[in-house]
Amino acid sequence: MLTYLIRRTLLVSVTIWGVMTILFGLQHLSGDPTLLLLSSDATEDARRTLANQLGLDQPLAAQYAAFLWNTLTGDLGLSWKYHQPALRIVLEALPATALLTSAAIALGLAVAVPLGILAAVYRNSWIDTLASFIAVLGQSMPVYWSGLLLILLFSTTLRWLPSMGSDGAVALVLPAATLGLNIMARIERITRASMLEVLGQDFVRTLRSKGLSERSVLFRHGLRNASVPIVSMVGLQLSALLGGAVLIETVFAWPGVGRLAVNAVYARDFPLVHAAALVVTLTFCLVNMLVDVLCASLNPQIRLD
Amino acid sequence: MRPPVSIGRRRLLTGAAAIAVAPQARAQDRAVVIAQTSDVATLDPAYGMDTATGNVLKHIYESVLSRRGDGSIGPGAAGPAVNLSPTEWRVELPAGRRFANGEPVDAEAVRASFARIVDPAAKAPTRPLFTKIVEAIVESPGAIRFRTDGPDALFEARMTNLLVVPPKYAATGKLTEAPVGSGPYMLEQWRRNDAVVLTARPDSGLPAPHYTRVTFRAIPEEIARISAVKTGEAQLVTALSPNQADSIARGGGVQVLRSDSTRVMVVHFNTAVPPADDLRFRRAVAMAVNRDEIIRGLMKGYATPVATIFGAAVQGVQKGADGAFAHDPEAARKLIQELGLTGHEIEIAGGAGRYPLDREIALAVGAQLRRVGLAVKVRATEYGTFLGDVKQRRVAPVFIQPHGNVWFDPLPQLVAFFDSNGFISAWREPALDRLLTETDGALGAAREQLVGKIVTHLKDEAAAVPLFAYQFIYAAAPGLQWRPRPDDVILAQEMT
Repeated sequence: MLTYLIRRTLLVSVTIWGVMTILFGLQHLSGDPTLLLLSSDATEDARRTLANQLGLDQPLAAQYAAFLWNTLTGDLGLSWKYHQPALRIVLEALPATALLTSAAIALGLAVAVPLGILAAVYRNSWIDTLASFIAVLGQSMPVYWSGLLLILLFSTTLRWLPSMGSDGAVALVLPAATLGLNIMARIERITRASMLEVLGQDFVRTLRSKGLSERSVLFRHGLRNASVPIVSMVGLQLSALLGGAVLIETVFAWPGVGRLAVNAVYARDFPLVHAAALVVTLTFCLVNMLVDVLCASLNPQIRLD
Repeated sequence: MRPPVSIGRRRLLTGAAAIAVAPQARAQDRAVVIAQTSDVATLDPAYGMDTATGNVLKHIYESVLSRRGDGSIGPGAAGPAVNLSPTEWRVELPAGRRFANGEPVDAEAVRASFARIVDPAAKAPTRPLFTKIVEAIVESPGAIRFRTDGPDALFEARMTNLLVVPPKYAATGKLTEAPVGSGPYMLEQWRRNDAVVLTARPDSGLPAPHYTRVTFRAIPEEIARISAVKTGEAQLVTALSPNQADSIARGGGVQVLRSDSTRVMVVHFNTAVPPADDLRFRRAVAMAVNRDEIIRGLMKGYATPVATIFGAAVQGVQKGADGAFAHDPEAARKLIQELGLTGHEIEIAGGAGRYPLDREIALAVGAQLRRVGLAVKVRATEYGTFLGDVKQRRVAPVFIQPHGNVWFDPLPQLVAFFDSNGFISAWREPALDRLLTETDGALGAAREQLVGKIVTHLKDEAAAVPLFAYQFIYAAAPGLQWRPRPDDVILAQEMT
């Protein structure tokens, strides 16, 4: 286990270095930020002064070295837009994103797992067809599109739910449902496939011949054995969720890291983009590590080291 | 016979007090929600530059002078400003005004507000707005004198950007999140990336605003903003696109409000790349462009044709100044033929995604140039990259450039886009540079005449083809009374 953790920690460091280097390159390929930070009738002197204030007049190698050092020390500087520590701003927005993604995962699992089991048990029936239809629908509709449709239906037309903001649990329903719909499709499909594979194995026939109830066969033995790919899928979906959260938070005006990062990119707020990328990368790596540990605990055949 | 009604003194006073308080109690319920595209960046005025932030700050703080709804300048916390000499201005402040924390709104507060911005160590992004001012001298608690490094036609405009803060409190560094000003509202709550809630100050000494609670919400997505105003979650939403405005206006139930802006879309030329170095080619392009078609078809009428590169609210431009070109496709086709450019491939560049329909406007201009015989390739790139290309003169021979004008004055816009050393200029012409420098040193009528001369020069050289001024478009709840302004500033104190 210790060897595994050390190896993974090293891999996480390499991943972060890679992501940060790509980020630095992209930031500097996207043009001079001072041109966007000032109004278009500003003076050239003002642009030079700003470039000097922000350290953008330094050689690129010096900027890269400072960028990596800041990443290493966690001192990402002040946000150019907010004039507050960039990392603090991102960490303040993190709980909102965590709440949204957790709710989406919970919603996705609550619907997708029973639906996947039903589709496997009643294979080729109308239930299976319905489940496949829902899966195709959820997976093929971009989240921003389904989000707008839900706003038009539940906010503008029916006026049941708020279209934006984060005031109370009711404001969470639409963004979580939109995000949940997308991952629900993938989880439903993997649940169905895993359950079909497990239910077709010899030990299931043995269990049934020993007279175990169908409920016990399905949930106690079938689902447990089918759960490893489901858990892995949920872990993998985290990246999709974080990507989806960027769009969903923008559509529903949800005050999370995704929206913060999008605004920071538009505003060319390099320190804030830097902080958001670092926090999201770290979160992703840590969740993946946790998923590996969880899979090993679910299936003793999996050895971490 | 009914028994006589006995009303005691205490009961009478209670009743009278209830009547007196009743309208106030109802007023306390008056709330308005304004949805903008982005959140407030900071609540410290030294660091707030964008429109969304400025809108909130102008409720909490007062500027030394203020921009009126028609673009002109009037008194603010102080004023008006008196020009003592070409390089000296005096601003007087009324006595007895106080910030929300009790500090006096006096000359020292104005001086300290200026000093903290121009201090290089503060790294305030608003500093470039004040670099022309070299000194602020407190003459008395009610008067302050400013000295500039030369004649400064923008002095009063600068003072509309100088928001006054309480000096002792500002020194604590708490303004960023816990602002204290002398404006009609004070902060109740700021939930970053979500909402800012303001409440009216009963002791501001200013006329009591109709709305006593103002919430600024950040809703980036246009459909969500429209939904918010339709469902009553917001009473005013900003930044509608022409397409959505057109659809809402026809649908009814919500007001569509609009105002001409100072943001003008202009066709430019990069003379470093042939054939844009040829005046005849530039004239041909100018005559081929049909701006009315773009305004009608693409902008759905939510844009205003302009005679120059300046929006209507920009002050200091001679009436009757004409920098526009008549649409004459036949003459344009003939010129293109004479130049041997028929079928010649020309690239048009533009930014994408920054201003409403910017990419589509470039495509429309491209289609109009095809009609006069050019083979046009349109390249719309990310706005930052596009600006970089313009600045380095790597941009296409013809490019579409939106002009902003935060000063409501022609010169900064002219310098930025046409001076050889301008902020985003691809134009190089020493004679024009000299004319711009001369204009910078002039004031009043002389300055206005020089601006007129530059407008004529730009037309003679076909250096720029003004298309239209964007309009700021808002959706408002049916009962809201408010007149949009040319500076996109939203003040709840102007609403009923």
